[in-house]
Formats: sequence, structure tokens, C-alpha cells
Amino acid sequence: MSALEVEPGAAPESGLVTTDTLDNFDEMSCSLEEIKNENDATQEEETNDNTINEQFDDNGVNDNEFVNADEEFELNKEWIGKSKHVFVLSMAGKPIYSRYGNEDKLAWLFGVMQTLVSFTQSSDDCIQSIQAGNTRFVFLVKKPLILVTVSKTRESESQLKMQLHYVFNQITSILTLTRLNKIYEQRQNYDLRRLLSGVERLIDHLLTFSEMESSIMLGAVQCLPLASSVRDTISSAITGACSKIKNLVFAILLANNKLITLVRMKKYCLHPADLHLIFNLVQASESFKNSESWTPLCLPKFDASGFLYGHVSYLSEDCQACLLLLTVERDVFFTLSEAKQKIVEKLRRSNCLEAINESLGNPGESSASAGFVEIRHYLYKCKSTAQFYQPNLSPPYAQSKEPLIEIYKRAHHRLHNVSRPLKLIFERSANEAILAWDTKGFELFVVFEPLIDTSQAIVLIGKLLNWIKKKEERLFHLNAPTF
Amino acid sequence: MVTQIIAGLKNFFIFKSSLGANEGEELKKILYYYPLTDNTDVQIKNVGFVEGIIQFTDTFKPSSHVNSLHTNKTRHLYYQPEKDFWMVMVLKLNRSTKEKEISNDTEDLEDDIEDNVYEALLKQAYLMYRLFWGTFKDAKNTDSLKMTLEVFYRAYLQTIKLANADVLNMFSGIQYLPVDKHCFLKVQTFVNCLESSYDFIENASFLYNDYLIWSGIEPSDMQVVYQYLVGTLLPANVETELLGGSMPRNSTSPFAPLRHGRFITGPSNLKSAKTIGKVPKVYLFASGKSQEYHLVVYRALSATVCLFIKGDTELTLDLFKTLDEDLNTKLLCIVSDIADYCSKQIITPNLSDSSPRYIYFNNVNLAYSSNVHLDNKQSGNLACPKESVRIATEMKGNLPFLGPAGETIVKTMNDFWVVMKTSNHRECYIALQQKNASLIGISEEVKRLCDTELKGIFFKQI
Repeated sequence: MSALEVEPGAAPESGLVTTDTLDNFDEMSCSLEEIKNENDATQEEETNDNTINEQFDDNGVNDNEFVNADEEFELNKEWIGKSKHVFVLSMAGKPIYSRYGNEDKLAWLFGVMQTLVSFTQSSDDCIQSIQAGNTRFVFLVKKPLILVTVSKTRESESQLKMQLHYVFNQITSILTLTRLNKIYEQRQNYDLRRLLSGVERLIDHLLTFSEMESSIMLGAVQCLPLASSVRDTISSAITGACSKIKNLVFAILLANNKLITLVRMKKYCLHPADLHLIFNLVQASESFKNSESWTPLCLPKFDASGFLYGHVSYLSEDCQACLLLLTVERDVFFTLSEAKQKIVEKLRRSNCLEAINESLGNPGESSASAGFVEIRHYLYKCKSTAQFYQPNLSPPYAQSKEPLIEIYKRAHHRLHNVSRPLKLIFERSANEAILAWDTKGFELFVVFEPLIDTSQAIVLIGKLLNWIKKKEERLFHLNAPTF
Repeated sequence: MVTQIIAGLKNFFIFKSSLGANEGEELKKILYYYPLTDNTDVQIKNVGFVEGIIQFTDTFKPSSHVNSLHTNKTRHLYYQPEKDFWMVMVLKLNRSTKEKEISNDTEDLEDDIEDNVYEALLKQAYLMYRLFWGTFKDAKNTDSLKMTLEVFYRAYLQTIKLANADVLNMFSGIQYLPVDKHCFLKVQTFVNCLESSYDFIENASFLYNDYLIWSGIEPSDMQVVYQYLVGTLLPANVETELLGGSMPRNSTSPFAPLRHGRFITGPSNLKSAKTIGKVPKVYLFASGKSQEYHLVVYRALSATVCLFIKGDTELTLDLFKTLDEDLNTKLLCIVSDIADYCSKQIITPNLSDSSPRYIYFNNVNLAYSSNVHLDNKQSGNLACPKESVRIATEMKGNLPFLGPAGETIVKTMNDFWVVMKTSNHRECYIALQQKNASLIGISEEVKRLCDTELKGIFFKQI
């Protein structure tokens, strides 16, 4: 195939932790203590319930509405017909979350699931999954919680399990793992929903996100296309305004589910899984648009034991990019608010806001408009930076994205099957041809017209890689700036 | 890398969910249970668990009842062959992990063991029982059902080869012997002649070694009979032949004509036999209802003739003697013709490691052929890496996504290639061990192979 010296999008340093597979998904680092100690910051006690509830106060109303609608839901056709159910319960079988329907009315079902888990555990074993025709049941027993999904989506067991891991992480990101464990150590029968009001909405959104976007599957994030000079100006504006602020760990600027820039404290990287939670938080919370917010946030892969505190705000009325400043200090709202003002001013002066808006307004190139007529769509992931690029959707997927996502998920699963990974798949069916290719530096998934000639497909892939290489400065965030 | 291997059969049980509905009577549900070392409490608990799983999964109205359940240490396979009857097979798994210490908390374990292969094994276990004893529901009463299940499965479970099960079990196919018109017409005439001269013979099938030439019964029935013949009956007989056991060594007279043919089921030695010996009864189902036959198998040289004799026929020693006279003379001349033809066809197989290996299966007549498997005994004697066969199994699982025609080419981590083509209900899996090949090279190689080896089979041109 083509011989590129360096794969497109590669960079000497990455602000994101790079992972190939889910292998180390359970591994969590403990970075918080380190940062606090190094900077001699005063250590303080964990936040109490109030802070958490305050943050989600505005959602309480919505929640009640839901409960009313749910009452008709009880095991009717509509409920059964849902393509993916997700349930979270405590080890004692107490309902915590159900994607559809009212948990209290489904209490018996939670009881059954708990029984299945404890039955297998009684013989020092653990239930993993059940297959029944088109329906797959996947269990994740992650103390102190049990997570279950019932899916008719044809996703693989490992993909469904990854989604459950994300749901678990979403819950820890609100409570911290330490606190979660402590709660159940003290009272096995605790009703966790008391602490998680409003989190349902985040989990709902996260599940839709994992079903409709490729980023969770790839373990990567997509960047907003910007000229490298613009991106550098933005990064330096942030560094300039924040370099004096003590204990600031990450500054993240994102828009429309795409990363604009990530500035980090030296030595520390952000895991894509944590960044996905941040994306989800921003996407799911309309309230951030109205005012500057201060929110405690636990990033489970960064440090599951404690909170970071985030100053969250949109840049301005006329530029819908969201800026998050994450620190270990719990009372520096005003310092960060000031820094944000400085950043916005600088960006406005250097015309960066316009550049961002322009990129946001541009739907992006489809693969046909870039000159690849036989290629319907593709995903390119650069492994060393955990970033990916995909062209704009074009027919036949422009109307409905689901078939495309399904094709990618199937190919991704086969390429990364833990016990039998593959280097290359080329598959031709009645509807399309797909090529999935895993190399040291990158992963590539390309969907072709079904009648493409094999040798032509190879030629096109070479051309495509060259095209991406040429555009890499625009499509990827190649620097990993630090404060 | 984490892989799982099968360490053995943990449980095998059959229960009827409509029995023993009252509390305290759960034991009545159980029709067969292996191993007997599990006490009744454990048996009841395990059956109860399966019933719980069935109910739980049915809540979500899946497209079919539960098929399988995975735990860290076991794999459960479920099969409901008839209403209310459930067969359950539980496999013990061993994990071989390079890093032992992480093996206990690795939650993300991939399927290394294909459910569909073991589902096929479980289904086969049912079909084999049904061949000899008929359906579960047709049993006289629960006690006699329990008894026949016990007799059958005690022996059958010993013969299941769990570790070497692969994609062939899913096909459960038949190997046909392609012969020329001349030979084929001779065989067909012979079979027709048998069926018309003896009105108690309903159907007959003709095999040469392990290859089927003519089958008088439907493929779905022949599939099971074929597994029995090739897997159990014939190998056992070849062994006794080799030991000289059933062939009379001292002919009564040196001038007596040399007799080659004999009954494999029925009287083993017609001269000395006082009874007709053991003739199994079989049940065939292709017609839609159960039909009972005596299965009489006659073998001469390498040819095997299966006679399906109507179940209500009274078998006598005289009947066997008449048949023997007739079969023996006619068969000898056919067999020598076939042997002649085959000896001309023998091409020394190319056994170099790099030569392509393939498995071919036709869903219409259930024919398969393979140069991957070096024998018919499921001994795990493979001509290509086991990994390639596993990938083939996985590809078979992916077939429903491909539509009526398609192809898949994959390259493994060891730089082997596995190719699958399907079209017109035919499937072909090809393993190539060409380390430095490119995708284009491989697709050309496969095209060439299809042109030579699989001539006349239409694969969508790629």
C-alpha cells in the first residue's frame, strides 16, 4: 500500500492519553494528590451533598415531568420494543437507573438481575452475557454497582460493555469513586437516586452519544478544522491568561462535539474517556449557555478519588464554543472568570472568534467533494494523538446515520477482537464494501461503493492517506501546549 | 492476550418445564442429568437457574428463546427442541492468560469460543437421539423417556469431541463422491432395482468409503444418518475388520466362493447365526411426521448400502439370506467399477504448507468438502492453523450481514490470510499462508483457485 513516512495527524507529543483497546479500562491514575502536594495547596475535605444538588437544581423540574410520563410505560409494547435498555442497580438489588420506564415499577426486574448475578457469584464466578436471538444481555459487575444492558442493536459484547463502563464513569464523575464506595460500605441498602437526581439526563445523553458517534468506539476525539495558525493563537491566548494561575490542570475549548484546543499542566494528560464525559456534560447541559458556572467534576481516568473544579462558560453570545478551566482549587471562581474574560478579549482582537464561527458554520467536506467519488465515508484515527477525522455525511447515509455506524461498529469489533485481532479486513456485501486497516500508527475504516475493484480500492486508500496528510495541520490538533 | 479454552463438560441436562410446577416437586422436571455426582439440590438449583434465565430473557421478547449464557468460567448453551423440553449443555472454561495475576479481574473478555459451534453440537445431540428413539413427546411416558435418555446419552456424551469442534459441526454436512455417468447410473440402477424388487425396502442409500453417492432419503434426514454412519458405525466396523474379528478366517471349504459382503447391522455371520442380531430402528422426519424404519446396513469391500425397511416388516433370517445373495453379487461388480474410476482420478494432493486450504459447503444439498481437515474423526488434525478455522467460524457468523452474495478477506496478526466467498447458497472458506502477499495478490490467487478447484460453481465475479 502507500508508503507514508509519518502517518497523517501524528505528533511528537499528545495532550491525550493514547490507548489501543479497552485493555486498561479499569486502570485509574491518582493524579490529584500529586498535584495538590506538589503545589502545596491546602487539602480540603470532600464536597458535601449540597454542592452536587446545587449544580443540578435546574433539572429538578424536568425530572418530575418524566416520572409522570413514565407511569404508562410499564412493560408495554413500546417499552419492550426499545432497541437498547440500560439498567443500573446496587449490589443489593436497589434500582438506581433505567433508561426507559420508572425504576420503582421495574423493581421486580432489578431483583431478577441481582439474583442472576448473585447466583453466579455464589459459585465464585460471574455472569457476563446472555444471547437470545437478536437480543444481547450484557452484565457489568463493578463494585459497588451492577450495570446491565439489553440490546437489539447488533453491537458486540465488548462494545456494549464499554458503554456500561462509560455509564459507571458518568456516575463516578458526579460522586467520585471513593464516595460511592463509602456510601455502600456504610449502608448497603442506600437509595443512590437521592444523590443522582439530574444525572439520569447525563446518562441518557451519554448513551445516545455512544450510539450515534464513532468517538467512543474509537477511543478518540475529533477536532474542529482550523488553520494551524489560528489554533496556535487560541492556545497561546489561553496560556497567556492562565500561566500565572496556580493549580490549573486543564483548559479545554470545544464546540459542537469537536475539540478546538486542550492546554494542560506539564506532565499531565487527559484520557479520551474523560474528555468524552466532558463533551457529554457540555452537550447535555443547556444551562451552561446562560451563565458562567462552577461545577465539581471527577474525571475517573485522571483520578477517581476526588474532584476537579471546573469553570464552565461559552465564549460569547456570538461564538458558541465552550471553555472549561479545570483546577484542583475549590474556590477560585473569580480568578478563573477573570482569566476567561482576558482570553475572550484576546481571541476577539485576533479574529479567532470569527475563524471558529466560520468553521462551525461550514458543514465540512464530504469525501466526494474532496475528489473521492467511490468512497462513501471513512474514519481515520491517528493512534499517537487519539484524534480522528471523518468527512461530512453524504448519500446514502446523509438521511440516516445508523446503518453507517453499524457497519463501522461491526468492522471495528472484528479488527480489535481481543483474542483474535486482525490487521486487515476487506468485505464486500450486496450494499457496500468496507476496508478496515489497523497499522502501528493509524486505523482506517473506509466504506466504498459495493462494486469497487479491489486494486482500485487500494489505490484510492493511498490517495486518501496523502490527502489527509496534506490537510493534517487543519484537521488535527498537532501541538500539545502546556501552561 | 486472553484466550479461553474448553476444559470439559460441566453439565448436560434435559428438563421439561411444564412438569413439577408445584413447589417441592422440582425434581420431577429433570429427565436427564449429567453428572450424577451432583446431588439433587444442586440439580434443582441449576435447572431453576435456567428457568429463571428463560423467563428473564423472554420479558424482552427476543426473536428467539435464549441461546447461550457466558460467565467467567463457564459457557451455557440452551436448546429447546420441542415445546417445553429444554436441553442444556454447560462447558467448563480454562483461561490461559499470559499475565496470570490480572486474569481475575479482566472483565472484558472476548468470545474465543464460538457459541454457534456448540449450539450445533447440542442440536446434533438431540437429532441423534431422535433418530433412534423418536421425539421426546412421543415417548410412552415420562419414566420410559427418562430411561431411554439415560441409556442414550450416557454413551453419547462420551463420544462428543468438545475441544476439536469447529465450523464443520455447524455445517454438519455430507461428503459426496463425484463419479462419472457410467458409475452413477450403475449405482442408481442398483438402488432402484432394490427398491422395486423388495416392497418392504422403502429407500436405500449408497456410500463408498465415507462418501455418499446416492441417497434415497431427504438431505435433512440423511445428514443425521450420515453422521451416525461415518462418525460411529463404520469406524467401529473397520476396526473389527482389521482385527479379523467378524470375517470367518477358516472357510469351511477352500472351494467355496470368496464372500466379501456382510451385514453390519443384522446377523453378523449368516451361516452360524440363529437370530437376526441387532437391527436398529430409526425415525425419519422429512415428510413432516415421524416414520419408523429398520436400518439394515450391508457392506462389501468399500461400499456401504443402507436399507430403510418399513417399520412394520417382520425381519427374518431368511429375508437376510435372500438379500445377502442378491446384494453380494450385484455389489461386487459395481464396487470394482467405482474403484477403477477412483484410481484414475487420484491426484497427489499438494501438501506443501503454503498451498491454499479450503472448506466448501453447499446449503442446498448439504455437501461439504475440505482439505483443511485431514480426517473425518474430529481429531483436530488440521492442515492449517487452528486460528484460521476459528476465523472461518466467525465469518460464518457474519454471513447474515452480507446479503445474498459477498466476500471477505482478512489478514491475521501472523500475516495469514483467510478468505470467504458466498453466493447462491454456497460458502467457501480459504486459508492462505503467504506472508508477504498483498490484498490484490490474494484476491487474484483466490480467483485463480475458484477457477480451477471450484469449477462450475458460480461466485459473483470480484
